[in-house]
Amino acid sequence: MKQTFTLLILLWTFALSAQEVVDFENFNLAVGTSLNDSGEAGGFTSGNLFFPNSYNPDFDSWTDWGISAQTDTLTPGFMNDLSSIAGGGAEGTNTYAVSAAFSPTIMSLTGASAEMGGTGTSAAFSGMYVTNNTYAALSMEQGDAFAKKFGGETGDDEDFFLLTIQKFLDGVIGSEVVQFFLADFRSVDNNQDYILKDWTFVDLTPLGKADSLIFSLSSSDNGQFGMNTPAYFCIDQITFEAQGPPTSVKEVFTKSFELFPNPSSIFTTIHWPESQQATAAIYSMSGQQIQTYNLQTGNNQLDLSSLSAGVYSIRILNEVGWQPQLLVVK
Amino acid sequence: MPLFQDFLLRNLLLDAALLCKGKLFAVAALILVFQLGYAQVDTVLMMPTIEISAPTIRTQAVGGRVDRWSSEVLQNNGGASIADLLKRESNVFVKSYGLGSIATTAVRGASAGHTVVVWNGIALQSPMLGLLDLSMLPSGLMDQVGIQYGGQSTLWGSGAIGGVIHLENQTTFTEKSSVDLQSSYGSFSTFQQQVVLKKSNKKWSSTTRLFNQTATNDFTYRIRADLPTKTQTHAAVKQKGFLQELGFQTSNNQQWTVYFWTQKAEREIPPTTTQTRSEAFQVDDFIRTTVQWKKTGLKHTLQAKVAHFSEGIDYQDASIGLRALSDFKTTIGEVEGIWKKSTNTAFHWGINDTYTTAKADSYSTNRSENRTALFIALQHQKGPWKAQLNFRQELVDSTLVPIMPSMGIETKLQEQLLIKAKVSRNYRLPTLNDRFWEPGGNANLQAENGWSEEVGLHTFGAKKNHAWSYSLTGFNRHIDNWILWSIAPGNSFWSANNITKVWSRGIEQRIRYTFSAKNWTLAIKGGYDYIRSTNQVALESPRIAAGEQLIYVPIHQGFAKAEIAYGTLQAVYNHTFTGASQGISDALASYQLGDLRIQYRHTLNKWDTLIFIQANNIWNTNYRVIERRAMPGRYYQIGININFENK
Repeated sequence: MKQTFTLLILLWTFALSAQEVVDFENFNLAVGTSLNDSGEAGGFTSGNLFFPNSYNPDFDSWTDWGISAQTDTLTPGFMNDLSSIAGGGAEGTNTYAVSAAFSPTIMSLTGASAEMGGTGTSAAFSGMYVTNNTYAALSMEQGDAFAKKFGGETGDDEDFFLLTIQKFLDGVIGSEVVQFFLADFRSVDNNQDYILKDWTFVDLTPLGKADSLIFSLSSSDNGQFGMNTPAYFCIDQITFEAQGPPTSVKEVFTKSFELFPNPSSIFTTIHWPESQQATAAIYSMSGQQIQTYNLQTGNNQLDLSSLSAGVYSIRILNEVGWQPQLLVVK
Repeated sequence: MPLFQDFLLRNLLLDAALLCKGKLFAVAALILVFQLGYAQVDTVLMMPTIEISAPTIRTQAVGGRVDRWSSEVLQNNGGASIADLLKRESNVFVKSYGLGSIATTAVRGASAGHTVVVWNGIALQSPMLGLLDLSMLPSGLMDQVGIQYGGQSTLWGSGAIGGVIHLENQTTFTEKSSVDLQSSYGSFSTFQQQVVLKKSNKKWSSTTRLFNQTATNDFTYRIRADLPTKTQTHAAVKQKGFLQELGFQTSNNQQWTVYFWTQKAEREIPPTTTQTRSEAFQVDDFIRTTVQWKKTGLKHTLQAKVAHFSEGIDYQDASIGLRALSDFKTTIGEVEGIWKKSTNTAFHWGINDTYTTAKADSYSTNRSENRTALFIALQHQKGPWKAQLNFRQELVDSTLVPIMPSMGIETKLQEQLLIKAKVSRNYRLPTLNDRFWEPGGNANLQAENGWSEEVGLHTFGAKKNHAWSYSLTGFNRHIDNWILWSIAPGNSFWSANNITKVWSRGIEQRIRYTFSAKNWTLAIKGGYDYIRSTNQVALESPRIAAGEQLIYVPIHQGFAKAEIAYGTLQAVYNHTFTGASQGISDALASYQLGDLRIQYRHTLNKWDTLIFIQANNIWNTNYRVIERRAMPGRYYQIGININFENK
C-alpha cells in the first residue's frame, strides 16, 4: 500500500513535471473560423494556459487574445485581424492564438498547474512559435492610410517591428528579456530586409521560471497616437514544463484595479475602488521596489516623471488578492 | 483595437479630429482700396440694384477685419475652387490632400471645425463633421467671397471661432442678358468648363451656372534625387455642378430669391508615399436649396429665409472590403430684421431654427438635432466712433447654451488711421459624429467655448497715382473644452472627449499698394502672419506636451501677389511661404510656392474674350502639406473665357 502510494506520488510528480505543449486544437475550430468572444470566462483556456479576452458586442471589438483557424493571407486592412500570415497554425495545425497588443498582453499558467499546492506554480517555458498577423504583415509590406510601408518612401528606412517578451513570477517582473523581430529592415543592404511570414520558433529558456509571460510590441513607425503599425501577432505550440510545488505560497488574484493610461510617460492613474486606503508599490524589471504611493478611494494620479523608460510592475502591498499590473513607461 | 469605425474616423475625420491651424487673411478687391473693411452703418436709403443676402451689420460686424474678393478675381481663378484662391491670396492654412482633393481651412490657429462657411446668409457646414470641404466650392459659382476674421459666434452661431467665410450670389435687377463660357485645359489631363447664363430686367432675374471638371492627377514626383521618379496613381477626380438663381422684385421694396444648387464630386483617393496602392474612393453629393424674401424700407428691413440641404458621402475601399455611407438633411428657417432707429443707431435681431437628421453606418439609429437661436445686435455711431454690441442665445435640443456676448469698436484716430477692437465669447457645439458615432461618440460632450480679443490698426493713403494701405492686427483667443478624438485611458478604441484647452495668439500684417498711370497699373499685396496656437493640457493620446504648437499649424506664413497690367494684358504672380509644422507621424518642412498667370482680354462690341496661360508651382518646389502625401511639381493650364453681354 505504501509502495503504491509512493508510486502514485512519483507518477503524479512525474506527470506534473512533464512537458506540455499548448496548441489551441482543443477549441476544435473549423478552418476559416475564429473565436474572439470568451464570454463570462474572461479569457480562453488551452491546456494549462489562460489567455485573457473581452468582447464588446456593441462595437464588435475584442481585446488581448483571440483564437483563430483563419487562413486569409491576402486581404489587407483591419477587418482581417484574426488571420496569421502563414495561413494557418504552426507545424501544419489549424488553430493558433492572435494577440492584439496595443498595451502589453499577458498569458498565464492556470488549470492544474495553478491548483498545485493550493495556489499557482511556475513553469520553465522552452519556447513557442511566433508569426505575424495578416493585417500587420500586409500593412508593413504595402502600407496603408495610417502606417507606413516598411522601408518608407525611399526603401532605405531602417524600420523594425519588435516583439518583447518578459516574465512575471509571483507578481514581480523578471529582468530577463527575449526580443524577437517580426520585421527587420535595419540592414543597410535592402536585400536583407524581411517581414516574417512563416512560423518561427522562439527560444524562451532565457526567461527562466515564470507563471505568466508579458508580450509587448514596438515599432519604428510611431506618431502622435502611438505606434502606427497594427499591434498584432500570432503564437502557437507553446512548450513549457510545469515545476513542482512552489517554494513560497503564491497569492491567488481575484481582483484587479484599473490602471490608465498604459503605456504612459508623464503620469498614470490607479482607480482604487475600496473604501479603505491602500499602498501601491512600483517595482522595476529587476524586482527592485522603486517607490510607494498612498491610494485613496477613487482616482489616484501617480507621478512617473522620475522613472526611466521600461516595464515596471505595480502591486498593492497591504491588501490581498489584487492582481499586480504591468506598466510600460515610455 | 482599431475598428472599421476608427478607420473611417481617422481617414474622413482627420480634420475634425486633429488640431489644425490656419491663417485666414485676405485683402479687399482693387476697387475697394480706400475702404478696407470699413463698414458703413447707414448708406442705404434706397433699394440697391445689387442685392446680397445677409445684412452688413452681420457680415461686416464692427471691430473686426474683413476681406473680400470681387467677381473678377473669382472668375480669373482658372476655374479653381475657393480653396485654391485662399491658398494663394490669404494666409489661411488650407489642408489639402493633393490636387482636387478634400480641402479644409483653418483660421487663426483654430481647427477646420472652427471656420463657418455661409452661403447667402445660411451656414453650410456638415452637422456630422462640423466642417466644409472647400474643394467643392468652385469660385466661378460665386459672385463675391468675403472673410470675417475672428470670433463671430454671436452672429453666426456654433463654430464661428476662427472666422467666417461668406459666399455670395448677387442678384441684379437691371435690363441685361449675358452668356459667359469658360474652358481650360491643364497638366495631368485637367479639363474644366463653365457656363454662366444671366438674364434680368427690372422685375426678375435669372442666373444659371454649370460647371464640369475632370482630372487624372497622374503627376510625377521625386522622393530623392538618386531614386527614379514616381507617378501618382489612383488620384482621378470628377466634379460637376449646377446653380440656378431666380430673383423676383415683386414691388418697389420687396423681393424674392430662390437658389437651387446641386453638385457631385467623385474622387479617387491616392495612396500615401508609404503605401503601395490605394483603392479608396469617395463620392460627395448635395442638393442645397433656399428661398429668401426681403422687404426694405427707410427705417425697417425684414428678411426671411428657408433652406433645405440634402447631402451625402459614400466612401469605399474595395481592397479592405469597406463601404461607408453617411448622409444628412438639414432644414433651416430664419427671420431677421433691422430697425434703423436713427442715422446713428441700428438695431438688428434674428431668430434661426436649424433642424438636422443624419444617418451613418456607425450611428446605431438615425440621429437628429434641433438648434434654435435668437441673436440681437446693436450698432451705434457717434462722431468718428462706431460700436456694436451683440448677444446670442441658443437652445440645442433641450439644452441651453450660455449667452454669448460680443462687442466691437472702431474709430478714426486720424483721417487715415483707424483702430478696431473686438471682444467676443465664442462656442462650438459637438458635431453629430462627436455625439453619436459608435464606438466613441459621447452624448454628454460640452460645447467648446472661450473668449477672444483682437485689436487692429488700419492705415491707408493715396496720392496722385499711388494708393496704399497697411494693417496690423493682434489677436488672442482661448478655447476651453476642446473636443478631441483620441484613445481615452483604459480604452482600446477612439472616443470624443472635452480634453484640452488651446490658446492661440498672433499678429497679422497686410500691405497693399497700387499704382496706375496711362495704360499701366501695378497692384501689390502681401501679408505675413505669426501665430502661436498651443495645446495647454498635457495629453498622452495624441502625444502632445503642454505648451506645444498644435499639429498642422505653421508658426509663420506669408503671401505676396503682384499684378501688372498694360491695357488688357495682365500678368499676375502669387508667392506663398508656409513655415514648418508638425504632422501626426513626421515633421513638415517649410516651403515656398510661386504661381504665374498671364492673360489677355480683347473686347469687340458686346463680345469679350479672355485667354490665359498659367504656370503653377513655377519653381518646381518639392513640398508636402500633409506628411506622406505627394504634391505635384510645376504644372500648367491654358484657358479661354468668352463673354457676351447685351444691355
